[in-house]
Amino acid sequence: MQQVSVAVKEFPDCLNVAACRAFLGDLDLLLSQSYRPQIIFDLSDVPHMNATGIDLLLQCISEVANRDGTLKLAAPAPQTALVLELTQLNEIVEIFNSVEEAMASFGVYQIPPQPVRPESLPHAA
Amino acid sequence: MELGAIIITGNNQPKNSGQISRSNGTRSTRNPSTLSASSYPIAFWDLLGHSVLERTIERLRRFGVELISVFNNQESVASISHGEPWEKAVIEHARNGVERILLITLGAYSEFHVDDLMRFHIENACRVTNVSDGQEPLGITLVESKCVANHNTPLRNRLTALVSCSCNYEYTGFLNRLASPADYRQLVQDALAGHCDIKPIGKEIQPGIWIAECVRIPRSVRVLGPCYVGAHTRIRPGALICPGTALERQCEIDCGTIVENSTILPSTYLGPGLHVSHSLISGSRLIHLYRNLDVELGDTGLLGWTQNPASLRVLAALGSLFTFAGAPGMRVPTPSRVPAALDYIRGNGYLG
Repeated sequence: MQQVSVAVKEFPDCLNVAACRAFLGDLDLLLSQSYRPQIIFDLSDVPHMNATGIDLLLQCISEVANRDGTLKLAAPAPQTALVLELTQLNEIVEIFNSVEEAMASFGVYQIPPQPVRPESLPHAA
Repeated sequence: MELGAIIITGNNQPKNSGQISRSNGTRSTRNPSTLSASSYPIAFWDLLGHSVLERTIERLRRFGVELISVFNNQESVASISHGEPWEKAVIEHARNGVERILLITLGAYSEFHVDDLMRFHIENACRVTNVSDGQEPLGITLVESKCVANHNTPLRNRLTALVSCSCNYEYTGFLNRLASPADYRQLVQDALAGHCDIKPIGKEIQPGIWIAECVRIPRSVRVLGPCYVGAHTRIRPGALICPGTALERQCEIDCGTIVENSTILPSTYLGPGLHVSHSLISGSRLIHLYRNLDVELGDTGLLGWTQNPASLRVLAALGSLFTFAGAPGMRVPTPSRVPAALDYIRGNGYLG
């Protein structure tokens, strides 16, 4: 069975320019270390997509495409989803309601955390 | 004079108001019935060239109503009835020899026949006749002026007393309550489809395609009917105007943008390469009717207001100067974002 690795990155709130720069630097590093990268941007922390955010997203899409990679977007807020639709970015990248759905689309399923049994806990001294 | 009319606008509060929206990362409650910062009611919004208010006035004129007063008030009917300007207007109408006064609280759009209403009112010897659609009143009342004027008691008391002896005229024609932006869009679609008496202001260049004056449309633009393009609107190359769309006056649609089943209110700019569908846009404010979203997208740079040409800005400045100096008959566009409807009623002396 082929192992699939997918990187999930939290897209920054674009009101913070420094965070945007740092995000782009991290993405460059990730892309330079992987072959045909598969990446998910978690948009759940982006309540409002402004012009900076759209620019950053377009830049990321371009960078990932140059590396023959695949980028998917997950969990956009309603307003962000509307901006993506308005700018027709939804025609270029796939958008999913949650990170889990996006991962499933890559063939990766998250294993839910197992409940910890009391006997497995170390005894208190 | 047999009939006069008093129109009160600003009372059509939407039933589904208070849509939660997010703006600049903060949650805010916004009333979807008002698109511009000045919070004008739906009756003032342009609808295929003219607002509902203008169309109502034109309709009354066609039925021979000569004395018409318009009041803009955001308060409820009850508080308006206690207001001084409204009372003064009623008394003034009565003094001017008006036998009956038609009181219209402009919320719903209806196409009732004044003649039929008058006939019903006279045949039934009513002092007050309320118009309803069989379920709810439409905010239209016909009152005998002698019942509300020439008395020593306050007008509010007389009106309250007359409610008990009022007749009900049931209207069964075309009706749109204009309670929400969705109702407004439905009215636009009904008008484009010819389901009501509203005629777009412009020339029908092809079946279902109405174009107003001074419109610039390059050859590469595809316009699919039924649709409406308002006066002085500019569409840039490669744009696509799909059926059910209304672009009101002085809009600008940039290159390659697709507008589908939407209304773009006056002086709105849509950036290049956008896909707008099932929406109502005024400036940078967008109401998406399917997603039930009301958002401000000013900081995206995608939508905004059009820039007035320099000539218009000079005229506007001159206009304000002449208005200040009191020059009569000078009609130029106002520099503010006051709807054309307000200009119209001011210019024609309807404002009470």
